[in-house]
Amino acid sequence: MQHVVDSIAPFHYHPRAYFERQFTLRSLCLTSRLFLQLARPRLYAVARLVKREQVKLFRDSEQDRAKVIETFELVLDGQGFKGKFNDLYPLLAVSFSLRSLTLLNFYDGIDLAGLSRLKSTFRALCILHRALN
Amino acid sequence: MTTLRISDSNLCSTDTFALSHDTFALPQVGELILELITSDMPIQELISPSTFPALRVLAWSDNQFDRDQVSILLQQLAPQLDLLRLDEDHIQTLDPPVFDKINRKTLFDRLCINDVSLPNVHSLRLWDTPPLSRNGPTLEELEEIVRSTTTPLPSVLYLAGCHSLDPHDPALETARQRFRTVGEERNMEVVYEESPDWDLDAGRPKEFYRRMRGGKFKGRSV
Repeated sequence: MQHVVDSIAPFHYHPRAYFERQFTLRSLCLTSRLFLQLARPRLYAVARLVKREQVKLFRDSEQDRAKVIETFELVLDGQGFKGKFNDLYPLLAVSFSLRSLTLLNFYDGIDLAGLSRLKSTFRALCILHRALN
Repeated sequence: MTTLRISDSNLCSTDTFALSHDTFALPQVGELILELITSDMPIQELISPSTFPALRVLAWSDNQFDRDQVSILLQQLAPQLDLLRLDEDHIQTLDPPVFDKINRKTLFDRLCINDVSLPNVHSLRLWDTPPLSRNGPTLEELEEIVRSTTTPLPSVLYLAGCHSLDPHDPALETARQRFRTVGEERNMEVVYEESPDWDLDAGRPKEFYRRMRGGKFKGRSV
């Protein structure tokens, strides 16, 4: 059964396959407890967020998932975000397992400095260094 | 985080950053893919060895910066990068010393069209993607181009969807082998590979990455 789940839902994002992938995984989650166990990590492994509300929900559910169910690839499409994106950075700051972050269509501006809040040990060291001095 | 891909966006800076550069760093980013990017401030101030200390791979495509900024950016990043991917128009626009510095670890990308010349670079990729195939040159036409080119050719020529969308089409095996031989006579290795998938991984050139990083790079972008 693990093999079936693996074959229908690879651990990477593709825009043309994403919706079908997620739909299939959600259906599997509803099939049985065993499939829920197998499919749920896949469901969250790849996420595409297109609205502020989705970012908030993603953030709010992070604690429930803890580090057991991780997100490896996260895609944010700015077409659904009104105004600047920078206030959303703290909402993403807990995505510790992230291997890939894609930001698309943020015409109002992306502040890379804000992105350093994403699990940046360097930044933490800088702040600590300043505090000590 | 291994890969950061930013596409079709504007990079900006806060006042805080402008006043204190040292608070900004993305030490987990090993691969940076920038496509169709603009910026409110000089790009070399946003992307530098201090802001991206772990950066090893840079893909740079269709971004809106003047040639001086790009040259400065690449000059300062060159020592730390394992490989780069650039549009082929940078062959002409980079400062010559910067070009010399990056040439051996750069793949220059060119959309495959009929009017093909083969520049003197280390690695060149001619690509095309379905369903918008542009009827680029056939292998026979490429052969003619090689024969008629008197200047040095690329050391490695990647044909990715150029001449045929199927790099292993049995019907073209003889022609592929012949073109390979023609290339070898001019010290040019020919590599046939799949068309790049710009949606999946920003057109990552898999064989070039494999060669340049010796199989070290495991990350993937979306």
